Amino acid sequence: MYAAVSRSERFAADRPARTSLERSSGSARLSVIRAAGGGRVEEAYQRGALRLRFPRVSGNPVPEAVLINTAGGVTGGDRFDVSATIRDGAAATLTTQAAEKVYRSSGGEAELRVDLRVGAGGRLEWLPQETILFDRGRLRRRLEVDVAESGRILLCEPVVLGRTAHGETVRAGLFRDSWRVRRAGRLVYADEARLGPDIAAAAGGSAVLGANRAFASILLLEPRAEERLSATRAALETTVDVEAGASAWDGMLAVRMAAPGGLALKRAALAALVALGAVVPRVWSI
Amino acid sequence: MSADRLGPSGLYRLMSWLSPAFPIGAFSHSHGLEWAVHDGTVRDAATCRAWIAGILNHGAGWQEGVLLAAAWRTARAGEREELEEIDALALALAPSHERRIETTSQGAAFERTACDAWGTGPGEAVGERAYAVAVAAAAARHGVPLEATLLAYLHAVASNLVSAAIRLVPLGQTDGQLVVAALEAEISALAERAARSTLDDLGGFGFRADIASMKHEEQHVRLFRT
Repeated sequence: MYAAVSRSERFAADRPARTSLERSSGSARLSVIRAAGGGRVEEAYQRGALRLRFPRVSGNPVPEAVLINTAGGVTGGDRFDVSATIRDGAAATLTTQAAEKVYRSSGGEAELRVDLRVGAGGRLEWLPQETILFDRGRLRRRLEVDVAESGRILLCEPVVLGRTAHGETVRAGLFRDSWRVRRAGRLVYADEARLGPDIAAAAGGSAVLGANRAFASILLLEPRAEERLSATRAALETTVDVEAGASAWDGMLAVRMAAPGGLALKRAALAALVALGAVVPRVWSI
Repeated sequence: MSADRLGPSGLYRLMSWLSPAFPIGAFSHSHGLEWAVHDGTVRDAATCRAWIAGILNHGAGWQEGVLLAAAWRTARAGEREELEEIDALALALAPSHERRIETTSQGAAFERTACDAWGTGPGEAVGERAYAVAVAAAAARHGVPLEATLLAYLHAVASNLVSAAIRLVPLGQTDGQLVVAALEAEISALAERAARSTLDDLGGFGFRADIASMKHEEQHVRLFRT
């Protein structure tokens, strides 16, 4: 097992674009039950290229689970599944150890599936680090969420088109992200984002991304989410090099932001998350 | 009336339902354009055309076209439950409070007026209704063909945005019509594609338009509701 991990890590470092023959897959499953002030891990399951780690964070009773992709990125044909269940009254934070790189695909799409469930009075923060889509990378992501009426969930998905710090341009590929968010089983929010196959042509449109190449969507579901709107807008006002808006309705608060590069985006996302009451994972530090 | 051919009565109904005179309050919605004018993104006929083309091809235009097509088919087949599911999805896809208001206020007004004046609609009170789904249901019940309905709907969306731009930028009336004329080929192609789509074809990226609708909520001086 250990040998397999180190081999794939070395492999990923050596060769960014894997061929379709070397597909990887993995799944991680987590459940958290109520414990004093936060939560305790009830079950943690990992398979294939996905690992779950629980770094101790002193003074924080809320468990922080860190997902690690030992394949060092994803490419066409890869398939990853993550599911988390936060039981009644429990709390947890999920994040990823590093930015997820979507390498050039020689065929097919990388598929990521995330299922999140939060029970009554439960709290979950789904705060993965940014996804970096390389030129000709193809990603199909599905996020399914179900939160009890009295539960809280905070979702943030930052995406960067190419390694913007290196001036890399993404011309073609696919970014497709479907969100279905339910409250007590009833669909309350959905998102269908799709860029591609001609990403360069579409992204430059003034109603699309304009000059921006990094973007993030944030969604908060909690009773009285609307009360956080003015603080969130105030936090967004302080950000630099970012176009961002926030809106709240029906026990939800949504933020969209776009920036020329990943760093400005991450700074703005951090500011918004703090205003939304998040304990931002340490791995996020910039 | 055949569902495949647009006869005079189908054309008459589409022209009535998707006319700016149909009382759904379309004139009060700018879909975030008021912010895009404020921040300088839309400042003349060329930038107006680019903004609207982006919304049509990558934003609400395509999304609503796909939803309208799916809703038309289920309404035509009398699949009541599936129609409600499509409506729930259409409502959930609103990216901001104002966009939600935009679709529900027009959807409810459309359904009410179409029901009262044209004997269409469900004949019973519904809660919220997405505008594209309300139009789809009325067209399907009256046997108005899908592709013509899509063309009329997308044209109405685009024309309404042009009319908002005429007031906001401001643009001359002729410049506004130049934009409508310039969008004809794109709207026709979009309607044709949407008619062949399924819900799996949903997906767009009107990200800056979404941000504009959120920023519009905070805009101090404004003419439009959305």
